[in-house]
Amino acid sequence: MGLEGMMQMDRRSLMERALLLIGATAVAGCDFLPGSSAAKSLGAEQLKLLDAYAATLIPKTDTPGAVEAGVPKLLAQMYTDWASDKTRELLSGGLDRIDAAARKSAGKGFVELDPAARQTFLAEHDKAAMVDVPPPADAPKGNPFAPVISVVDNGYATLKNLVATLYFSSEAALTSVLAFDPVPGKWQPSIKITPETRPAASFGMF
Amino acid sequence: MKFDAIVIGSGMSGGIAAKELCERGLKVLVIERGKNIDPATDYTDNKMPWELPNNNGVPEAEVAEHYPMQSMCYAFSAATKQFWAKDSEQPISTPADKPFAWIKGDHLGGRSVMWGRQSYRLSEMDLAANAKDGHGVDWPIRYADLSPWYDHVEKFIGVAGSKEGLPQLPDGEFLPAFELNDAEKQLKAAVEKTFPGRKVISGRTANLSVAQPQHEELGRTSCQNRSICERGCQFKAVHSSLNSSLPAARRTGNLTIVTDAIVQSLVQDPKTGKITSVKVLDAKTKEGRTYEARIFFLNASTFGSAQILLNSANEANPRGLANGSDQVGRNIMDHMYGLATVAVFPGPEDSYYHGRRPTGIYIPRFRNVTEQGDGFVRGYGYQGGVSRAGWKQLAMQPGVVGAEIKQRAGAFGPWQAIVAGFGEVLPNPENRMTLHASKTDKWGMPIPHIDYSIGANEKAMIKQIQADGKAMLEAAGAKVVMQTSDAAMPGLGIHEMGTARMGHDPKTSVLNKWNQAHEVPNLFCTDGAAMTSSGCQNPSLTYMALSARAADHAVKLMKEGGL
Repeated sequence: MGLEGMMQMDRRSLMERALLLIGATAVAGCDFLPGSSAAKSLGAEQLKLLDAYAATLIPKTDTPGAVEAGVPKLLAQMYTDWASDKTRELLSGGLDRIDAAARKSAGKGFVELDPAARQTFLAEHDKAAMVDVPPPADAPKGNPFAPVISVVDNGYATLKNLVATLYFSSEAALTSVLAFDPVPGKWQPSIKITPETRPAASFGMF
Repeated sequence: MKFDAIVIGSGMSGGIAAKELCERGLKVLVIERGKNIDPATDYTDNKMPWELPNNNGVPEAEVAEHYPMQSMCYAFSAATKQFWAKDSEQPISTPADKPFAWIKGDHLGGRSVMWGRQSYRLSEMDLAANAKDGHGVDWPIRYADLSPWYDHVEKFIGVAGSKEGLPQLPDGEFLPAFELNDAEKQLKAAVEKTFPGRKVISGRTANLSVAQPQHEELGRTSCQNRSICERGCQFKAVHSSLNSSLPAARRTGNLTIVTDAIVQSLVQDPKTGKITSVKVLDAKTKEGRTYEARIFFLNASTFGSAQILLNSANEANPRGLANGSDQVGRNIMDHMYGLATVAVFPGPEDSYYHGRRPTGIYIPRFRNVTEQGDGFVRGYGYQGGVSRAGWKQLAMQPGVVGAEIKQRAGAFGPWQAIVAGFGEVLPNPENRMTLHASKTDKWGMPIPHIDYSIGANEKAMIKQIQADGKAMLEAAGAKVVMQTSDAAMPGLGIHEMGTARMGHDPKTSVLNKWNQAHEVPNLFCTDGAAMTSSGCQNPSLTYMALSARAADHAVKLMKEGGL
């Protein structure tokens, strides 16, 4: 990849990851308000939708996919145990809008589509949902330490990010797509990449 | 109970003070306000990424209620939650338009457990800076006073680094450095060629690159390059009070520790002027009790120590203890932080690295050393690194779904570089912590009110930090993709210091050249509060050197009958 191609990397996450090295956080912790009456778990239809979405976003190939890695189950658990009401609303809305958009464009719910149709639909939906838009005037300003997501469908962006993050933290992905050595031992500053070398999972800058 | 010495606080500086006092034969009591931590059972570094609850996230509603400020620190996670003070229990106050974050621990070992480990010496230039340009007051010590104590502390804690022969960043007793990777070597070559006098070196870090006998004696082993130091390291390869200084103190047989004991005030004998005891509240039962000793080390952290001094006001000292100068709580400095430049870097495509090194690169100060600063005094250094982009940067593109996400994540992406400036802040008496007039915490202690902002010198420095950062990365052929425009919220440098400064003159400073309170002969303060200026170097190593030096002096004074 030339330098120009590299510029297409996701800039928000690039900054996020880079800041980890110098000890900055990328997660804003201040604007979640506890307490409201929103449902604390995903409904049965939403769980089916989540399964189908996860399987389409990161499918099983010669390596396990998101479903095989247990991502939908973990995400449903986090929906209940971890997410604030605001995040629940984002995740739930992101899911529901996938289904609504599928019904509109393909005439069927996302779950009813066959795998190939799901993928074709999702590529379009993802592309449209993830387009950056200026944040509303009353949105928190944000900064590199607490970036504010502002895309067409913030709920979808939150959902996609969480599915992918859970996948790339899973034992299945860290022993197949990526490499993860829990106790590397000696630091090796220079190794030659061979066809067998897999990129190491990183939870920080290195 | 009566002890020879009481050390208030078990963190970075208190741990070393306790060790040095115990090793000189004193019966020492360490008083820690937070909970006990047992490394054998309480560290979380053996958990695999997928074993951590909620993907290592603390539930968002819990963060909002209890940790809105602490969660701004990168090291806050489900795996480290036990180490942070609850903001809901230990709030601070600031003016509405001047936010400040006090990041603090609430456990044995304090922030030495979660610290960033970067360890740099101050230089003669730093210790002479106030005298030279007239800001603040003169440090009562010079590099020659500190140098042997830096040696002493470095050998004990273990600092990996390279010898560079730079006057502005003196070399020390180093373990082998963590070598730069191939892209970083490329950056080093380009920067050093384009800008003679500037250096790109391996970040000096308190991780045992190669454990030495004095470390192994304490059960410490070499670093395994996992980079999860803030969870507590079962290899004890990272220096912390829990891994090194408290175990060293404990093996003398002279150490007693109490946890969950919150110091409220120091009790002064009006006749002798000496401290006779400390009043503590049990954090759980709120019952009061008293401990007596002959000498007292205040190591409660920059704000914690000032809070105790101010809260120890008595009839003869209505403004607070040791505060005839009215300098207690003033001159807060926190390094300007988060001034980052991020670039895509043209590193070698076929080269990689193995392991998660616990440090990055460091670019020592060059402004007002080898190159003039544009409209400011003092200077800044950079931390940073160059590494391969990860799955998130490569695979999370709009419209990319399905197997392509895995293909992209499994491929080797480009290198990315970051440099981030750490800028020196001048001592300014108006940057001040006071006790809140009416608000108290749940133990009845007045909460700190912190009023802090940066001035013209700092603002001029920010511009050049960012211009120089960009120029250095571009000199190496990198394409800058992002740059922060402002420093992070003050306090997030987590290098707050200066609230009980050292100085020659009791009228303008709180502590003398031995960190002894001018007005209270048996009281020593050796944490960040003592700092007369901030330098731009990460300060923990200096706090530890000051602690060891003051402990040595205090024991000599005691033996001579002077205390």
